[in-house]
Amino acid sequence: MWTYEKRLQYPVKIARPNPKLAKVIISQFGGPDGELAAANRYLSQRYTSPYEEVTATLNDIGTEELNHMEIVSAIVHQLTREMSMEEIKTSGFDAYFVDHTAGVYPASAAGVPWTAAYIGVKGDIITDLTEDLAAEQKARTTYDNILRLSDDPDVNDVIRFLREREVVHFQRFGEALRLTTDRLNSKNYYAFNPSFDK
Amino acid sequence: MMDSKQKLMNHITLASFGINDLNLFLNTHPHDKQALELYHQYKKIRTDAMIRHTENYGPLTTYDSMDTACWTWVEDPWPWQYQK
Repeated sequence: MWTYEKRLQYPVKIARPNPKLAKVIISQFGGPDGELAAANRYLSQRYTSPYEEVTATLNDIGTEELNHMEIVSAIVHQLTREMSMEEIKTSGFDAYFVDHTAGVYPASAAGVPWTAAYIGVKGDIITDLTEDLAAEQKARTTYDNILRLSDDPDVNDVIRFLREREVVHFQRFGEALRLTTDRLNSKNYYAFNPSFDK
Repeated sequence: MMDSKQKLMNHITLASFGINDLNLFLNTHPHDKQALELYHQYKKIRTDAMIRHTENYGPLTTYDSMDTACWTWVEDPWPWQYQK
């Protein structure tokens, strides 16, 4: 189970609302490489993890992704506060506004709703961890692209924290994959599926 | 002396992050003594700050409420809200 703590993992304090930027950043909430996908990917994969260090890694990184989902949502929420109708029309936020007003809805920057098709749960630990390594790099690239698009220091400070966590998670998943292959036959890692075969 | 709410929250944020990061490291290095020692240092800072925050400014989880008159958990601000 989870317990809610009434705080953010990293504080969010955005002085200047900016709906145009919110429309881009929302992708890291509900886009293909966003935090909602990350949390669901790892928390769903953990059930068939065959090795205890790997299970703990999936559980705890999955949990940290829930914190990150809340941080990204907080950025979007603060960027879209106190918007005038004029701002909504001129910033290009109108296409989002018509369906969601200033609500925070899990979708990509292009407006595609979040879908479980963004995540893989293959039930084979080498396959799942390889997906997770790619997922962390894809999220890192997306944060790099956000940093190219944003010149707001309040936003960028938080985005840099989130970007750094992707790098750390990539490292931990790499160690988890090594701990996995260390336990398998080095002449044929794929001789059996340790998540399924006994 | 009573700590300011902001100062206590900073201690909680920093110590908790130290714990979160060491947690992930220890998952793949469960026998690393140095990391485990560091974990206990951050844990002490966090535990003390959490108790002081709960006593002076209210609970951060619904397991820790000390309320007897009314349930203050519902009170703003929530962490995602902009605060000047």
